[in-house]
Amino acid sequence: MQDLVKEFSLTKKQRKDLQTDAKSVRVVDDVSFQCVPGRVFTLLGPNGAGKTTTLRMIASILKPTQGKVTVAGHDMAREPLAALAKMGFLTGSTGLYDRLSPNEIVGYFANLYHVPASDFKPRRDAMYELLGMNDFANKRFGTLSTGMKQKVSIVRALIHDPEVIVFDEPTSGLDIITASHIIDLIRDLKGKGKTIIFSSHIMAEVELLCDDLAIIHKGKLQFTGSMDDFRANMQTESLAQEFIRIVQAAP
Amino acid sequence: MKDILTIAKKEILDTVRDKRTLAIMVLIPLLLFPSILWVTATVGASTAKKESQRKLKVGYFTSGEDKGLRHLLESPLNNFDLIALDDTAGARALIPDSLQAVIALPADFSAQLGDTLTGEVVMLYDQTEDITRNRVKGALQAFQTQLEQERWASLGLSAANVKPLKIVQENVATAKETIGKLAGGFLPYIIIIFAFLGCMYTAIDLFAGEKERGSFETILTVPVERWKILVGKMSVIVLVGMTTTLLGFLGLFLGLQVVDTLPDRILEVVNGLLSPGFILTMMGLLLLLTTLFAGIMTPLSLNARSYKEAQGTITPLNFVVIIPAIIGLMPGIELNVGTALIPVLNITLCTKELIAGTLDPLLLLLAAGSLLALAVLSVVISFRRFGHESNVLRS
Repeated sequence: MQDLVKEFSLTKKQRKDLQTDAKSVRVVDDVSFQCVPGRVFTLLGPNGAGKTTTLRMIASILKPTQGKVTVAGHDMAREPLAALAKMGFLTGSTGLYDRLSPNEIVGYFANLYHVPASDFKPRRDAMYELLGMNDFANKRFGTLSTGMKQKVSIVRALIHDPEVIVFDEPTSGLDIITASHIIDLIRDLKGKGKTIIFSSHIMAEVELLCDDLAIIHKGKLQFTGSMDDFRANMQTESLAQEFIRIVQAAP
Repeated sequence: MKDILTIAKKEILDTVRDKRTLAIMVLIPLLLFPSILWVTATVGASTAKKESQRKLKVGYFTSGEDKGLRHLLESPLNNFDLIALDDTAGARALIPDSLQAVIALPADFSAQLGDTLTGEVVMLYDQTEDITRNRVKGALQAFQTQLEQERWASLGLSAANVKPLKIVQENVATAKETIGKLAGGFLPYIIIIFAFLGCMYTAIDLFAGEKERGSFETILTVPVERWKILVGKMSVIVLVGMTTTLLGFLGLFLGLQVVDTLPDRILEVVNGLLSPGFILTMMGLLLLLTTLFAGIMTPLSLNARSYKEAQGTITPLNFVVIIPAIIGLMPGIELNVGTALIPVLNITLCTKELIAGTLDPLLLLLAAGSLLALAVLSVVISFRRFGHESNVLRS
């Protein structure tokens, strides 16, 4: 990600609500970072900091006002399909199709990602086994629990064996056991050399997984570097306290 | 093409599992007309027969000679229970509960008739009881015919002497043309209403519904061009719109087959419509109309935050599209170069002409071209709207 900027135009009503005369608002302001294969890159920031907007630009859901996103060597603006083919995108709020079964949903996305038939079944079955999904693979998605749904979303996002995986608050609203399954899975993916971009509010998860870190506040990067560097330069006792200190010290 | 088919197949599966869409797409069009026709033919006919055979309580007031009216009214053929009234002051209040009608003759009734003048007969009735009114009026008209014949006889005249003209009307239009003009106004309603309903619920579910369920963002992250996603989804809207309409037609034809009250010549024309040419032309027009509907509804559905909001925006459009259909029914509105260019109205007029067998191929092409141009334009607008990032931000 290089010099990413995202501005949204404001309607008259929004200008009135925000009590501003500005015609647009800059949500992401000159953000650059690099994520490396085999490492977990964590994006930290308070609510409204610009994390989701940044991740949406990485996944081409939103178009950057300025800047460049490169995924596995493909420029997202010039080769979006090649870039998206190598990326898995999962958010805590990602919805799927209530009237289809996990098998049908995963099959649908496998077709859209052009997964070869010879790879599809073994890959799907391995993930079902890992996440304990065999019991509900043929039930309607709408009848599943939140944890079960998130597992389906994970298989959906990974069925094409992407090189880069974006997890935006993947454990949001999940029970501790399901969240632990997901943390294990992210570790497993890291071990396989995948590039992982991870966003979370849960500091315990960040401490467990993070190799590289960026802190974003009011759309601007406040810190970027390795977790080791971050720990080495901490002025407070814990990650959470240090995060709060950096955010509060930001202009 | 493979991606479009993958998306379309998934959307079809998703749609046929939605009970709400399924009811609108299959059950309502298939059962509506057979139900209406069955109710009209059996329940309606049975009620009418019962009503026509019911003994009517008819109040009767006269203060003098009635020239045989009472005798005629008491004929068993009329099936009246004639109740003599002392006056007519409270008679109005008795209708329709105690009496179904009242016949009152003024004091000079007999004198007027004797002088070969017009005798007045007052008939009180309840307008809402149509069959009752017709039965009483029919009995009075029989009395009038009887008096007319008596007068002509007394003057040495016959009916021909006082009726110098006999107007003979011969309809040169074929039964197909005549029925085409009548039924042709009705069939476009079926096309427009069912095509609209089928498209509407699918368009709402496939775009606003997807945003509401949170799956819209997911589909945008797959490595498939957005126009292919749009075409896959819109093709399902068109397919459902066409299926709904065709099932509506099927329901109508099945309903007409099971109802035995329809005259044979009408049934022959209706059955004769099912020629390959008629079906192909109608399918072509229907394809263009549903594509146009899909193109109009898609941006509206995309713009909505929820299923409910999309429903609130698109439902009023139903009335907008019905207006040209109503105009097409008005006398003097014919298919020509001007009307062939007006969407929906051109469908109405083309259908009328097609059923009557008088459709000008050039005007059909013009209407089809006009619909095609608008359909393409609406799809382009849908594509622009689909690619807009506010769709994600408004979810």
